[in-house]
Amino acid sequence: RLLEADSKSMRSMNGSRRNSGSSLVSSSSASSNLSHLEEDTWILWGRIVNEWDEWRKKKEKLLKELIRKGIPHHFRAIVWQLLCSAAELPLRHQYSELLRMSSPCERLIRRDIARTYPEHDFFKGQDSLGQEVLFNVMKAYSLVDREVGYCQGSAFIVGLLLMQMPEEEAFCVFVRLMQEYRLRELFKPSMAELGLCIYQFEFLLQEQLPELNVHFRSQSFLTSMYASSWFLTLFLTTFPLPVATRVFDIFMYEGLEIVFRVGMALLQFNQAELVQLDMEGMSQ
Amino acid sequence: MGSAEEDYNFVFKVVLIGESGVGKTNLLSRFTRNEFNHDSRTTIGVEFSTRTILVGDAVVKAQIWDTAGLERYRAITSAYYRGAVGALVVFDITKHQTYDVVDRWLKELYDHAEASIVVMLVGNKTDLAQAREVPMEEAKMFADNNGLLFVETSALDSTNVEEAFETILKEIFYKVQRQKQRSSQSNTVSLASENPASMAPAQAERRPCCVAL
Repeated sequence: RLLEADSKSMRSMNGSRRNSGSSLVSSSSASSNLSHLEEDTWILWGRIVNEWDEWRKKKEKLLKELIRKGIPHHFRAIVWQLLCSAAELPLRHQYSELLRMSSPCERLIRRDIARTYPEHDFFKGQDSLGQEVLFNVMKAYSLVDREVGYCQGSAFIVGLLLMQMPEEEAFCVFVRLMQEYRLRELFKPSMAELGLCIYQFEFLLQEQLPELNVHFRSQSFLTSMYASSWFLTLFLTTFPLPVATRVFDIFMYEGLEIVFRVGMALLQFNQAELVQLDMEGMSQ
Repeated sequence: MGSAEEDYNFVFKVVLIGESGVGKTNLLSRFTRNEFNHDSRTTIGVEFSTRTILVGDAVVKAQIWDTAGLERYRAITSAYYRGAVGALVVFDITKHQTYDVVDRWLKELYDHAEASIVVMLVGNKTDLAQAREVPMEEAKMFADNNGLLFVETSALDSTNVEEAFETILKEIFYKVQRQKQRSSQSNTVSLASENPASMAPAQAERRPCCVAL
């Protein structure tokens, strides 16, 4: 259900994979022919942002529902930051200082920079702004969290943030996600939390879709084979970007649980087809 | 569904391992789809792909697993060694560091895979010969001393990619044949080969064996 994202907000996303830099001001050409419905949505979200504390405290349910329907593109940067209280992050003031330092993870990070969203214009080319800011944020994070340092997969999350907001803001949101959204646990050197998520997902599968579970087992199709990247990149390397961004909206409000929900929905939705396939077919 | 209908006599599971960025994913795509992608994406978790080739009269299906190269992923990828009958340990000839850690990859491999696994050391990116940091003789000697097959490849210009995979698949094939003959001569060995984790006929014939978790 979630995947059949309402086409409305999908449309508003297409064509506006913006260049980062200016966070909130730029407006897309589509705004000239806004329908009334879209205009209403804008007014509503404008109000939500202005009266954030009140919405957060008193209108939780409605807010959740609205986020599930999709945050309008132009409000994403601000709403994501509000949802994780990124502005109050004390580390914010250290960002420029961090950029002047060097990190032991630099080589590792460099190796992946060109391999993160390689098909996306913003990150194309060695001297592109995208690659530069992605490197900056990954490096800065590796300096404030020596235990995790840099872990593959996280660059896709930061990359998505950078498509929406400037680097300093993206850094703050990322730190929050790592600290408050279980991501840090996922990316720790032992990756024990990932093991736990896989285990939980498997149990859920057994309970919810027993027939499919039996089929997977008979084909030696391990949960970790297909679901690892779902958790580590929050579907950013699975779905087309507009769809993945919608999932990310919900993740920002509901947390990692959404990966379980979407993952389960995906399997359920394709169950009839999957049970007919062997391992190779399924991994496609 | 396509490939499910194919007829084959053997399925060999082969794993690709080595440092991040040495070109594992492109070696795989060059061999299975004859494709090379300049803008390839970091592999997260594991991916795999297959190709069927002829070894003698036998139709062999190679099921090749491509895993993430970052060290901490070992925690989740070690399960993928199970049932593997071959491994390509890949390094980048233009980055000595990726060769220095081959030892660690071998240890990791022998810790998790069957002792009988066929291993090939692969020096990739020969198209960047002007930036070479690992002399071919050095790697060759290391391979000889450790009982590994050895080849240098370029996934970009296709040099030796086909040869690399064919060589290891043949080697596995002959090893399985020898083992089969031996097990038909002696009852004790055939008993042992019923162990699903071993590389004996049970594993090799017809279908990939089902490894219980």
